[in-house]
Amino acid sequence: MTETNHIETTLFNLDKHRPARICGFGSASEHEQIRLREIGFAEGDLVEILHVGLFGRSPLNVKLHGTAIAMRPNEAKMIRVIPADLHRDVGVETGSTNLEVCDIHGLPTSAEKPCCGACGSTSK
Amino acid sequence: MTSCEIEHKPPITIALLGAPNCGKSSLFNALTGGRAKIANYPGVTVEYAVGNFETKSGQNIRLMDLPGIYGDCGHSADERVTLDAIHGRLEGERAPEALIVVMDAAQIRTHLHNVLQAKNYGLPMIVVLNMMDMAARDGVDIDLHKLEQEIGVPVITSVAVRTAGRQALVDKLEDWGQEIIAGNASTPKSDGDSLKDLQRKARVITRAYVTSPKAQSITTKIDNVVLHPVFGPILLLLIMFVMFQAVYAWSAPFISLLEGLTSSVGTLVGSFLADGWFKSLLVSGVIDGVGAVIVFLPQIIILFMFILALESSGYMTRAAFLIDSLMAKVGLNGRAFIPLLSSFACAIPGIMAARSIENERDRLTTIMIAPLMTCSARWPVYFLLVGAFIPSAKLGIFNVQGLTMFGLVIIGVIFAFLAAFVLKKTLLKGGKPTLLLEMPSYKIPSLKGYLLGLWQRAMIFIKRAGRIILPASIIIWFLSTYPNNDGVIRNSFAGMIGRVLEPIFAPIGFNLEMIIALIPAMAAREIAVSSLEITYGIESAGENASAIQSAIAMDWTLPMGLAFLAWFIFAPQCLSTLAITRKETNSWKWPLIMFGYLFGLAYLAAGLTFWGAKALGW
Repeated sequence: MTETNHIETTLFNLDKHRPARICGFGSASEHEQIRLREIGFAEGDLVEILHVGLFGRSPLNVKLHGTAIAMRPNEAKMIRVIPADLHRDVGVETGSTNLEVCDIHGLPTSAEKPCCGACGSTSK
Repeated sequence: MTSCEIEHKPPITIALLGAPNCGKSSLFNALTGGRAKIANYPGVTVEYAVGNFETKSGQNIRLMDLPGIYGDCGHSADERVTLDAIHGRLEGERAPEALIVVMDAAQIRTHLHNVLQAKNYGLPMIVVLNMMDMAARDGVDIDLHKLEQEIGVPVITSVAVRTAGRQALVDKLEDWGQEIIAGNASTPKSDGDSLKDLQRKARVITRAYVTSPKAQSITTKIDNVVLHPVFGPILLLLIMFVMFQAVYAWSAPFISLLEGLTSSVGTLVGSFLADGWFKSLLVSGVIDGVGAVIVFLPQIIILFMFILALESSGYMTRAAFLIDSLMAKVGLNGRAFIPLLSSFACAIPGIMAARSIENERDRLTTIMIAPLMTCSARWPVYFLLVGAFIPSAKLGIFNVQGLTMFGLVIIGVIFAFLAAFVLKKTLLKGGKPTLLLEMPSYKIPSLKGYLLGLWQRAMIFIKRAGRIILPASIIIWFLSTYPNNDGVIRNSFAGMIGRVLEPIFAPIGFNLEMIIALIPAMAAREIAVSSLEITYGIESAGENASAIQSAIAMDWTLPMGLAFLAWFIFAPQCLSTLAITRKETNSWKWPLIMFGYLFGLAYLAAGLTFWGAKALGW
């Protein structure tokens, strides 16, 4: 797997206690994406890994707004994120109201490659 | 319209809708006086319930409590119950006239899109922001007026567990109820179908009108310890340990009190009656049979004191988190934790709770292993046998009997995991490993709710004694007394039945009384205790009948006692469990497999224990 964007990663690979913004649901099937959205994950939301299990980062306890949601690695791997400190929205809790954070707040990627396009081959 | 017509207003139905664990059942119980089970973890309610609420003006409203849902897709069976209810597809229930959408006030940012989505059902609705006290504690600030404007439906705040906290809703139901009957309650305007668009709209609203605190919440601070990779599991083990120690350490005085009471009642009743069949029935059958089980009530209460405290505090989902990697390794769905946890009270609600598991194969796996959790009907059997065969000595600071109980429960769990592993490799291959479990905020349970929960558990235990154990005791008394009435069990009807089964069970060390006890235990496992009490009581002609523990300690060898214990870890002996499995899987195949594999395990375990212990010279 080649990473097309250096700052983008999955929630699974995100460092503990490093807040990040969701930019898409890369490898999730439509069904899985619905489940993630229904429980509350959306593009632009701030997430942070609070706790991880002893072995192999399984499970993960993820902070989402005022909630914490426990998930397994395969679920965390579907959520594409950009660490908030690398994001133009850095620290702005009430930041963009547009969910396509990546489209609007152009990240340091080339113009012909908007970051959401890099979220994974299956993203629209 | 005359006043008479008002008296006969037909009841309207309003459904409670909302995400799991937002407090729908608490609200339902508080408004209707219902007794739906509540706890602080998602997925407690998996079936709908209906209760009546009367407004001050006498309008009767039927409230419908529903399993929590996050969306309108109906991924899992419990979610489909909710959607069927809203769309009027439940048998014998018409669609509700209106919706009360409940939302945890501390979680508006996460769940508002679910509320916007609910507007699509096209029913009049109001939003109840529940647990306002908790949200305030966590420093969540909400501009209610603006929120109401933006959502486009009335928003009411509530603290479901307090009378004052429900007042605004009760007042609202007064007027709103009238509007619904009159058919002029307004229905909300849809915000569209796209989940993504709904999320976008929800985020715009919450960013403007809901401020959450930046500081780490109390819950996160507690979790830093409770979910610590090293201290977390140690704490979990410690809690379980203390629980089993307490069951023994705290219950002893109460148990001797109840034992004394049972035997005095027996003596007293006996002294009034002339010797004969009626005295024998009443003393050896009814009083001893029921009393044998009732004496364990203190231990059951102490056990549930712990379980209820853990359930209502929010700790149980943390326990789920801590053992999830183990569950993942054996191929179990993370969602299986909660059904398995419920199975410690009784496998029946546990098997029903498996509805929250979306994947059918994962749901079946969970159902199949649920009976290996130590249900509360097994406790009296364990108490009796552990009391009779395990010395009440101390090992360091630990009570050996408490340690043994802990061991018995753990053995059940280990074999449940092994069974799941085998099932996932063979019959039930496939399925996607998921967890996605919301971790609720910690709460200090209200004393009233806690005591009510404890009372309910105690009543379940006592009612079983009346409804199942009492008639069973009478039947057992009859079968083990007649036709000869000579005090020799072998010659009685029960003895005849037992002798038929003797060739099967004698090789694993079971004597006739044990075999006889196995049969009525199919109705409820604790009847094994009553059965032993009755058969040994008849043999000793009513003398020392309440001293069942010493009777079996004298009559059985240690290998026999341990083999019987081992049998009950696995025993597939509960017709109701098999019946609910039949219903929930809609097939005979799974209950039959369940019976077969549990019988096999029980037989092997008892046999190995018996011959192993004998070989060790015990």
